[in-house]
Amino acid sequence: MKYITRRIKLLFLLAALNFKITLIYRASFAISFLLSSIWVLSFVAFVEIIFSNINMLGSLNKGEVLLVMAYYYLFNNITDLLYRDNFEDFGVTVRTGYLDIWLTKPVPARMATCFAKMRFDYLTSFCITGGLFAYAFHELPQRVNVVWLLAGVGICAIGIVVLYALLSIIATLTFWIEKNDTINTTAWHLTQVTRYPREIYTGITGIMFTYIAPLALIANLPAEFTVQKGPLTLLAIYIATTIVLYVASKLFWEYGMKKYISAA
Amino acid sequence: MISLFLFAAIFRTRGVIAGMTFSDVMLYFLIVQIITTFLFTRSGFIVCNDIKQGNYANYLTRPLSYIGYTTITEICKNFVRSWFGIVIFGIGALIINPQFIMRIPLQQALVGGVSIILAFLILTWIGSMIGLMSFWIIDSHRFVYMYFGIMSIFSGQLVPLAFFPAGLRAFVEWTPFPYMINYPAQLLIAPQPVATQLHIIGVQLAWVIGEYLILRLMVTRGTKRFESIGG
Repeated sequence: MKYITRRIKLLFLLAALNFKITLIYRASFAISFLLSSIWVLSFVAFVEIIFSNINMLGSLNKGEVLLVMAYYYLFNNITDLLYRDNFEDFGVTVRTGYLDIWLTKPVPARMATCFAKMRFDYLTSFCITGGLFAYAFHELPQRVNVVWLLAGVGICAIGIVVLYALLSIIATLTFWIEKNDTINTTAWHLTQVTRYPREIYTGITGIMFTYIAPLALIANLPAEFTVQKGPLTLLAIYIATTIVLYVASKLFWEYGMKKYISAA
Repeated sequence: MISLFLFAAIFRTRGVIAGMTFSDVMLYFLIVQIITTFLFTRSGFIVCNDIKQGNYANYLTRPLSYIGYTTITEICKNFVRSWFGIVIFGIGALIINPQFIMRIPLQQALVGGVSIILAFLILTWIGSMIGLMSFWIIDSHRFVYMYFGIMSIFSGQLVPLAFFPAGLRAFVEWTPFPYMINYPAQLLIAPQPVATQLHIIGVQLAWVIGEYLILRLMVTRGTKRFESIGG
């Protein structure tokens, strides 16, 4: 219990600090909304262009594809807000010795490092994502049940843990590979896999992105459950894989800590 | 490359869409990958950072054009990088359609090369224009990201222009975006009439000249506003 309360307390402390920092530059806060709108609208235009030529993408109609995209952006907004910048800068954090500051404090070092900088200027992105959800619901042939929608959002939260674990494993490699920046960038590009319907990934890529690194499930499974098409077996496998990934990332981090030599 | 999975799924239901088969689309995306290894620059971020951090002052004391210098630097970097793209994606393109190189006349291939260089200038100088906005606003990084967002869809990077509905395509033709990726790629994929080749080059030249004039104006006006503090 103490393990969880300590982490929740730390999370709220970091959130409050970062929120105050964000509001110093209010214009930047407003521009973030415009920025996220452009990217979302570009990909909505992409879906519209595709569906001006076809009626179904695999077994998915336009509304369902838009719903997958909406969950992708919801997942993206949350991870951008919470920890994206920290993982991208982790190599610099280690090389400059800034990691030592967290190691010397009575807080969980991995969590403190990965949630040190939260981007509350991305809060505005949630508005445009809400708009995308509304448009997706409008395009769906059936009405969406609120209970199933909440289930979808809950399943989306699992994806946040999946990506956190995967990025943590990659970031831990920095203790051995000094300059890890390209790997981090590549990892983020891999999240593009989550944007599209999982049906497009066949063969070995389908197995990899569904069962090993379940990136294809992050946005797809919440969308499938929202329209009440979600397979429970796959959800169980997804949760189990997430737990395994999280534990593996934690153990790998602790092993990496033993190898870590301060830059200071 | 994820686009290839997406379009494979799209073409499972129909053999031909917008006049293209799946192998046409695969070839298109592989050629686009080759072109983009040469095209993409960080000019917007470089210019923005130089102005924000005061490095721009260094260029004021030198007998060279700042935009010319950054453009040439980026061309040289991308020229080296593009050879990796040519080898890796070129092999893929040859596997999909070994004959595609043979059916392009040498004259058209040369026009395609010129078109890619003009596309580079169009793309880079728009980024530079956005970077130069840093003379007037604190940070123009975000606007560069917005530019990439719009460019990715309208340039044909995500989906060929052939897939666009007629109305949207007519609108996009009035922007520089299709002349960054879609049209240079078309010159390298299939034989085109000479009139079409001349049209593409002519429009690209018009955009390049227009952007050059705007850039000169922005540099002149912005330099008058520029302040650099410290040694």
